[in-house]
Amino acid sequence: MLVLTRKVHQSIIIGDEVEVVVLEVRGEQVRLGIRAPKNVAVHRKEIYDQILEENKESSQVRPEDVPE
Amino acid sequence: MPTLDQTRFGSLDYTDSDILTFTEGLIGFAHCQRFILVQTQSKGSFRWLQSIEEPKIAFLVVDPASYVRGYALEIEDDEAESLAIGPDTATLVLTTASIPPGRPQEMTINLAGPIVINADARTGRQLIVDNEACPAKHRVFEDGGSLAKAA
Repeated sequence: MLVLTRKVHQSIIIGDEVEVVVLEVRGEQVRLGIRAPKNVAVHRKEIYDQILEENKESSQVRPEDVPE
Repeated sequence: MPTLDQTRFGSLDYTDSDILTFTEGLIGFAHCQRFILVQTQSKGSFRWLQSIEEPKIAFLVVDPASYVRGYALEIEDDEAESLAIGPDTATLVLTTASIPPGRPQEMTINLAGPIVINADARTGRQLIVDNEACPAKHRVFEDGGSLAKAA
C-alpha cells in the first residue's frame, strides 16, 4: 500500500483522472472529495465488500436448495 | 452452436445471441465478463448467471420484484448512459440470491448490488445502491418460514 500524509485541502491524484481531496478533518472523521470520470464507480468500501460477499455466496448456493 | 462444458449443471448449449457482456464483470469478479442466463427449473423465477470464462462459476439470480412489493430501481443518469439505456430500452433487473445450505427459508437477496441488463444490446452491469432501504441481505420470507411471495 502506498502511504501518503496530506493536510486539509491537499490532494492525491490516482492515474490521470481520479483525484481525492481532503476537505475537512473533524475529530476522527475525515471528509474526502473525489473527482473521477463518470465511468469510474466510487463507493464506501464497506458496501463494496458486502456486495462482493453476496456475490460469492450466491455463486455457492446448492442447486437443490433453490425453491421451485 | 457453442457448448459450455464443466459447469455445475453439466454441458450447456447456447447461441451467441444468448451472451450477455459485462465490460466490468461483477463486483469481485471483474474477469467474468461474458455470461449466459440459465434456467434449470421448468418453472420458478430463479435463474443462474453462468460465467462463460469460468464455467464453474454461476450466480443465483432472481427478479427482485417477485419478492419485494413495489420494487423499483432508480437508475442514475450516468449509470443508464453507461449501459445505453433509454426510456424505450428493454431492461432487466436482477439481484443475486443467497441461500444457506439446507435452509431455503433463510434466503436473502442483495438489493444493494442490483444487476442491470440492457436486454436489447445484451450488456449488463452490477450497480451499487448505498441506501439503508436496500440492504445487501434482504430477508425474503417472513420469519416463520412460509414460502409466500409478495403479490
